[in-house]
Formats: sequence, structure tokens, C-alpha cells
Amino acid sequence: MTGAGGMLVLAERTVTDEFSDHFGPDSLRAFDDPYEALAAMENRDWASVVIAGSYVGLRGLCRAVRRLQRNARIVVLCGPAAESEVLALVGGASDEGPIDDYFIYPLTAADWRKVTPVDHRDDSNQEE
Amino acid sequence: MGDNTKSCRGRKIIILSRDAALEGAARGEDSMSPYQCLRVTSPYEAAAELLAEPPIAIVIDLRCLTPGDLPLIEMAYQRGLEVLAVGAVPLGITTTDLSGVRLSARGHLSALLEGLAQSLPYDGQDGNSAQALTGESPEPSSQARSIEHKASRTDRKAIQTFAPAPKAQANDKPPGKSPNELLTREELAALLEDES
Repeated sequence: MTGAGGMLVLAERTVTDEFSDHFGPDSLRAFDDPYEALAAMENRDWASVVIAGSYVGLRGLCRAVRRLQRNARIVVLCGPAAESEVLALVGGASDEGPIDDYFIYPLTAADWRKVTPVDHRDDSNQEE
Repeated sequence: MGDNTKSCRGRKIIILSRDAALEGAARGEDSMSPYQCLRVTSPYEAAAELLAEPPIAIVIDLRCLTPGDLPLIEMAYQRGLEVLAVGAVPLGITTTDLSGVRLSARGHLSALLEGLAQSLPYDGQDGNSAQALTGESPEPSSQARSIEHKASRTDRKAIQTFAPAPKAQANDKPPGKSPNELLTREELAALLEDES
């Protein structure tokens, strides 16, 4: 394993392009296939994993990501209609609540600051 | 062999099923079975377990599998793992997609897994690492031979393998005309046995 760092974004192309524009293409690795994303977690610790999109079996997917990335900050982006489902996944790394936070998509300017991985934040953003 | 301190490493069987009874069937009645079963309910979790610690084999309840989950099987093959399945082939998946997967009746699962576990080095990673590094698909393995040997002790009909279809023929034929083309008579017999 390398040291924890970087952001992995699992989302459809339009979303990953937004992240790439916002953080720079070198700051993240983007996937739209969950299995490819999981494989990229095998030998690397990521600082942050962002999951966006209506993946079937989202709970299982989030639990799988947590299994491979114990220390990553895992956030989910969802539409307003899915908020209650995603809210139930927030638990700070427990099996039943494998994600750390969620945001309603599209992101606001404030959300973009909060979703920023720890190693990308300046001091004023480090609230946790 | 027999180093109990390493008993957790490489002695794991991943069971992908929402049915807890399948885990029992995989374990069998022998409390001293040479492997540990870990049941997960999501194909993604199965993939994560597979990546986190390579198991001896993966058992898939085909009811949990969708066409989008076929990379899980590919992932298992890339690591030289045996893939066993129970149940009927789900809609949207063809027998060609499951090429190399061994279809088993529930009642014979524990015997098959026991044979598999006993055929491997104690640290199951040893035999698989080279294949994983080269990314080559596994040859018909000694594991497979052992399974068949074990099956012969119980019932050869207990296990059927989805054979890879010859590419030319697969392209020439129109896709799945009738259910009779999906399963062989032996596979159907195994499935019916599974249901009972």
C-alpha cells in the first residue's frame, strides 16, 4: 500500500468531468464501473472516495468500499429523492453506516469546499 | 499444512447469497471443515472480500447476479479462483457468460468445497499469486481435478461446468432461441435437485 492520498471518484462521466475541472485531472482518478473502482482500491489507500450515481445496491457498494478503504473519507452524492436512502448509510465507517457524509447533487459552492479531500484543503477548510 | 496460526489466511470461502441456508449447506455437517465461510449479500462486497484477502473459492447464488456483476466472475478468474454457482441462470445472463463456472447442487456443495480446500496449499495465496501477477486466465487447474475427484465420491452429477462456447459457433447462432438451449439435461437435473 502506498500512503493515503488522492481522491477516487466513482460516477458517470459528466460528474467525474466536473470533479476533474474543479480539482484538476491529476488530483483524482475517475471510474464509472464499480468493479474497476474496487480493483483500484486493492493496493492503494485513498484519502477520499466519492460515489455518485444511482448504482443498484448502493449499500453493498458502500460497504465494499469501506471494506477496502478503512480510513478513507467516503462521501456519496445523490439527488434529493434518494436522500433518505443515503442518509441511512451515514455512520462513520460502521458496517451499517459505511459512509462519512453525503451531499445533494448538484453541489453548491459550500459543498465543493466540504467535499474536498483533507490533503487538498487549506487550514481554513479543515473543520474536522 | 496444518499450521493453525495461518488458519484464517487463504482458508476462506466467499458465499454470495441472501439466503443464510446456503452458508449452512456450504459448511456441511462437519464442524471441523478445513475452510471458513464468509457470506455476503452484495456482489460488490464479494468483490471487496476477494480483493482484500484471496479466498479458496467463491460460491455464487445466481439469484444475486445481474449482467452488471459479471466482472466479479472475471475478477475471480484473474486470481485463479474456483467459481461455484447454485441456482438457475438469471435473465440477461447466458451460459457463455458463465463459462468455466461450476454449477453445483446445494447438497453436494460442502463435499466439493472440502475437496477443494484439501487440494490447496495451506496458504491458498501461494498457488494463485503467479496467475494474478501475469493476469493470465487459469488453466484447468489441479483444483478442478480435485473437485471432480471429490465429486466422484459423491455423485458426478453434482457438478456441471459451463463450457466455453466455440467462438465461431457462438457468433453464428442467433442468441437463445429456447430454454432447452440454455441448459443441458444434466444441468437441469442438478438444478431440480437443488430445489428439492
